[in-house]
Amino acid sequence: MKPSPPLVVAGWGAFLSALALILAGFGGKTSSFRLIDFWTAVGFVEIFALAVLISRRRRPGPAPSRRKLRSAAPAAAIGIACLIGAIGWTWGVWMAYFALPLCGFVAVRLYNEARSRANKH
Amino acid sequence: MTLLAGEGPASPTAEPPLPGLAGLVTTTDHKTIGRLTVGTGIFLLFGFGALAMIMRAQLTQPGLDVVGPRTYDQLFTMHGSGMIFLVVTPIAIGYGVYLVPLQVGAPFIAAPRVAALGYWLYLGGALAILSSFMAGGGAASGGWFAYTPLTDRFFTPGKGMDIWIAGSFVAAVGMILLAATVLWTALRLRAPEMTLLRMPVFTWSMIVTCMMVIASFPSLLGAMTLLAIGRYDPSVFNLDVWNIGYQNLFWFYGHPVVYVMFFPFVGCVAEVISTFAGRRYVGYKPTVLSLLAFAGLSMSVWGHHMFTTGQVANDYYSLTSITLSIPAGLEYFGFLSTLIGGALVYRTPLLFALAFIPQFLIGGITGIMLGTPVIDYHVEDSYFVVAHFHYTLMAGSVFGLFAGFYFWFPKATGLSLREGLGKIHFFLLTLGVNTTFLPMFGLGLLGMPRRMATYPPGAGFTTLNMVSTIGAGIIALAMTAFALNLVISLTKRRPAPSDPWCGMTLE
Repeated sequence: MKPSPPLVVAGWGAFLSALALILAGFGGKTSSFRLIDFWTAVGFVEIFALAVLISRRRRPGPAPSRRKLRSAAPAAAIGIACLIGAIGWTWGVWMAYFALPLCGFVAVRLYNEARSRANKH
Repeated sequence: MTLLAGEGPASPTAEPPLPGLAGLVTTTDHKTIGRLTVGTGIFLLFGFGALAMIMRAQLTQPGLDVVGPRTYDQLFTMHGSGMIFLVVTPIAIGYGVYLVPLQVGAPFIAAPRVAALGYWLYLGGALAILSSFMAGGGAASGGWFAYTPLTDRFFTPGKGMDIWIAGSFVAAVGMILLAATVLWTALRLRAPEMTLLRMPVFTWSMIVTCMMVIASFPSLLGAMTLLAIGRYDPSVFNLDVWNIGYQNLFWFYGHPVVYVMFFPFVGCVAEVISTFAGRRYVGYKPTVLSLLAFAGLSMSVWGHHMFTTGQVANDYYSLTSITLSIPAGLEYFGFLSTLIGGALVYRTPLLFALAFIPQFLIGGITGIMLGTPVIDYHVEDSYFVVAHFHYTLMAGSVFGLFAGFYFWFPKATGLSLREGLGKIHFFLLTLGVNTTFLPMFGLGLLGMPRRMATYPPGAGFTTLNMVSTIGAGIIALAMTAFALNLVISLTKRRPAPSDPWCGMTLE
């Protein structure tokens, strides 16, 4: 059987499930907390596998060779806003107000991009 | 190949890149994002390494007063958390950001703006963690694992711990985003005819790494959230959750992360060995299977960090920990089989790859020893553990990191590193790490505990500590040679040929 991307990820998640079941089988000092942690990780992996599967069904062919790559300015702005937020959480909520213009910039930029995409279609 | 400039794709449908710093900040080109990630990590490697030099100076002899005990606590916390959260993990994933799209023939990385966001969150988290040094009361001081209740507001007051928590959270989110884009690229954006079983070993090592990041890094987010809430009001949680629950959440991330810091450099070593032996990698399919098995097993061993708490199923975690030696052995057979019979060319990348093999073996075998509760109960929280993880991480992963760095530097920058300085770096670093960390096994067996700013004069630890500090000085010399190599190569540029090593993979 040829390995496919969703199979690799889902299969790896299944391997984790088997390990979690073995842990549960050991009983004793295996608390439900530990198993919740393990099964949550399995869940994240299987969700990723599902996303890969859905993507393959929607676009079975190879990757597009050309694509309009937009500026990462919103990404940089979010990063700086998160840094300001982290500092604000520690030193005072008032500092977080400095992040608001950055959040506004990101919102406006993404809205404009979505509108131009909608106008093209 | 332009150096560090915002390098946009040649496609006419892309926005033209902005010049200079604006181009760097707004880039969506994976090669630039990869270079930024690795470059930031290398820069921080020097900084957090310097903290280790101060610690070694303090421990040279008993009763020294280079730094006080409280400052020493901050040093080992920041050194450990900085190296893991901000240096080796980002460099490992950064190698993938740069190389995976090239190795699989992808036109671009998946979700380039998400990848860029991952880098900026990493940088933001790094700046936040570093800013904790400026907090009243100093930086975080509860160890890189920040155990509760030591790190609650009563025992660790001050904002240093709070900003450390926030910075760790933000940096971890950045790593998750970067890993997700690399994984998606390898799985969904490969060139036609680039099947999964044609991908290079390095790409497979990045696939398993990124799957582990997606599975385990959210646990760190949970641990940091629990810690943040508990610092305000620990009574919100019952005692089991606040103490052992936190440890479970933390180590569920804390063990896989050491493999996140290992597998990409296994991939680097595999590529370097294959190239400099002049032959295809031997045992490709067993290596791929062993990477998948190794990664899966590594998700199930976290309780071995908690053997001495008496709150985990020691037999399960011991079984899974020792079972790790099977896929590890398969990978070693792959390395050795590729080397034996190859026409070896002893350039700097191969030297680092060759040293990785026995050094990581020492770390790995001592890891199997620690995976046995009987031994672990004796050496837990001693310098034996410090020696073990420095052999795996410094003598292992960092050597693989440098093998990859010297190997791919011409590709990433279009320039050649100086071979002579590279060899000086290699020989001094090999001498330095073994002189520093080998004596620590002895210190651990003699009973020297971790995280102590000094030790009594009659305890019998002095000679080995002095040897270890000399080794640290040699490491400092080695890293100076490396820094010199970087500066000279980037200023007095020597253009590299287009395929300086006659490599075997697409990039």
